[in-house]
Amino acid sequence: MSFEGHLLNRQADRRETTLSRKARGRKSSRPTVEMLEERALMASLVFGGGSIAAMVSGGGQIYADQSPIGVGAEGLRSFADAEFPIGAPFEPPFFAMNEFGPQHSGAAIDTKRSGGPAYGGDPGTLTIVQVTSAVGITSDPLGSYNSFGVAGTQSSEGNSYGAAIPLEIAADTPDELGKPVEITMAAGISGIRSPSVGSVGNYRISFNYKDQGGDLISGGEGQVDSVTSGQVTFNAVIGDVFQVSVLNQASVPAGGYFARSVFLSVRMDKAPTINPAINIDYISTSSFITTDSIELGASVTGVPSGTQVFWTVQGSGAAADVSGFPTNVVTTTDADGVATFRFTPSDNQALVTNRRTVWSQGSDKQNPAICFQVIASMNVNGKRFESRLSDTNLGDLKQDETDCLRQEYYDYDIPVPARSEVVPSLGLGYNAGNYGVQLSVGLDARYNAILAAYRGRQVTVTIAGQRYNTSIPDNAPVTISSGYRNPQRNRYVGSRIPESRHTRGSALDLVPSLVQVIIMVNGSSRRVTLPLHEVLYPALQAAASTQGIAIAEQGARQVPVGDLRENHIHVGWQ
Amino acid sequence: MRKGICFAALLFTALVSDAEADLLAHLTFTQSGSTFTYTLFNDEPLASPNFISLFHLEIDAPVSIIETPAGWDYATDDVTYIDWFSTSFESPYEYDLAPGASFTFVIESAEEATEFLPFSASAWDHVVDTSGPSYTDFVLAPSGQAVPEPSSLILLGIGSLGVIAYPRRTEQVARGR
Repeated sequence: MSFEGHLLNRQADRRETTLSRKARGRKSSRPTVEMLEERALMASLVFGGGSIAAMVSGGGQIYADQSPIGVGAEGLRSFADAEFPIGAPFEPPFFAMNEFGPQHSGAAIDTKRSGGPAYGGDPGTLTIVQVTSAVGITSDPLGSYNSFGVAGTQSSEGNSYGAAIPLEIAADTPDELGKPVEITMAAGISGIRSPSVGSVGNYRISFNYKDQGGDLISGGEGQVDSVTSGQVTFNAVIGDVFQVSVLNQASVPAGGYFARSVFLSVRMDKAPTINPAINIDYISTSSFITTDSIELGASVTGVPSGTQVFWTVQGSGAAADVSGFPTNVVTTTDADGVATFRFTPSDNQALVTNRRTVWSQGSDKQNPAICFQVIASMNVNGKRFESRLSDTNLGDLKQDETDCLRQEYYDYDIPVPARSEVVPSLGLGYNAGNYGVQLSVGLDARYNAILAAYRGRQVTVTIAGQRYNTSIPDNAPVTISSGYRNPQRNRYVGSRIPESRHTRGSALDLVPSLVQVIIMVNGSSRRVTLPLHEVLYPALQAAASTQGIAIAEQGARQVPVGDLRENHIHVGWQ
Repeated sequence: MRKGICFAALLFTALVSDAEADLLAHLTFTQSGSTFTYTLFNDEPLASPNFISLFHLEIDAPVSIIETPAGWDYATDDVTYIDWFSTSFESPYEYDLAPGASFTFVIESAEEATEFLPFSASAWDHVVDTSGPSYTDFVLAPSGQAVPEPSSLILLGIGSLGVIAYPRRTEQVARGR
């Protein structure tokens, strides 16, 4: 049985948790100046920079002096302490403790067991109760052991008791936040009472270093007897808030043994030996075109600020065969251990040449994406440490489909559309390009408007030398032979004008299908197929002219409207 | 190798997905080498007055029209479009494609490459005696825009070098012997 988490209910705890979690993040998520000032003020109030003895109480009564561990805010302090104004009564729960605990320094403490025998009786189930007493805590300088009574227990065979104690590794100054520390927790048992059996029970004490969510971060366990103790060491950073619990398990022969007290001591050593490490943990974008400036950041630990970080960029994907990217460019770490690097791919003239020769020949397929591998490295004591972007969880530095399309405009040296101008494909016809995205300046709306202007349009047809008036049927089909074309596709189909309106999504090539109408010829009803060039093309050109400049074309060559060579009406607009 | 291509037949059914689908119809496409066969189905209910009388197919390669349904004719520039139409000009328009029936259209092209191009089928309302609904979609059609890709050019170049190098190599071997 363990008792964890019940000390964490207070609003103040949650606020501190937020502060501390922020403090654990990267540079960008560290506390603001205001938060740090608040923290510093709080620390000074609680700890007073020295050995302030606070009067604490349980159940509204004053029981004992309290001197927080880690006085001076350099060591560990009780999480609850952070919200405890000097002189104010302590509000339970605080440190749980049973009546046998010798660590308290207050008056006699009323037993608050819920079940189980009285002292001296048979062992039984004993539940750790809420605060009945504050705990006497000795305050020692940094680096020494701070001992305090905790989770007072009385044990019996097969039972284990513990109470989670929230602790924060407090910082003296904002600069200390996030700095690595080494924590050693030790626990032992004293005050064993063995009324009839000579041997000492098997007491087991566990240390569980848990985060605020209760997830185990690190832990240890030691088999201890009445005089020895076990301990565990783990790494943490200043600003961490965590829980620790001590479990006391007793294998008690008949007659019973009692652990009179359990103590937990915590040692914090600042600046332990930390292995140097480098990790790329920031990238300004995951996609790009070659004129974009790309920024990366690497966090470095275990070395002082000002350490040199070497950056190398390697092309892959469509840039695999291109050399000349930054190699071993040096930046230095700032006070937060962060080194920042920026590069713009098109600063590499070899890449520009490659794009404007190899990738501007025309194609009916998507261009492959340009990708980059970025490597950050440092040398420490003759040893090289490196971080590769591909090994991080930041994702690849690789063009997405939208930027592959936008890149083509750069490759053809024509204005590059904004990402917001690139829309999902409108489907076959509207999108005669190579991608699942396209540009469209009202392609569908213009088509529908042209269709509406075409259908029902009055036309004249000549039959056997006689002219007859009729109209285009209301459901006459008009097909789109070409709409949007990406620059590569545009070149592929033979256009020599990279900045054709088709590449801007503001042009359509339209083809009328044959239609049939009823005409009264010599007094008899006759179904007539309207001729393409004499009737339908001129009608469609006139309809398309309502939406832009419409011309008849044979391929890419303009021909007179009604000419037998015409095979579509091209209409374009701004 | 070429035989393999010639006998490989592709089957494609135009999906009723885009544009106007007022007319119930569908088009199947098979390709065997340079022969492209389109079968147009009138999927209207049997009692429907909508008989198909026009079939417009866009192409992008030189073609020859091999098969046209009886009583139908076509207009084409042989390169970019074919418009087939029923020649019936008086009711009851006996050559129109009736509901539930299908017609086959066959073309041949030197280009075996294809791409999706638009087509349309239009119906004639045999009851009201006027233009009926139409159906527009996309179907694979001959495409002659197979411009060699850079990679193809490289392969072609390597192949050419091989052709050039082979006699020289043969000569060297012969001399060596």
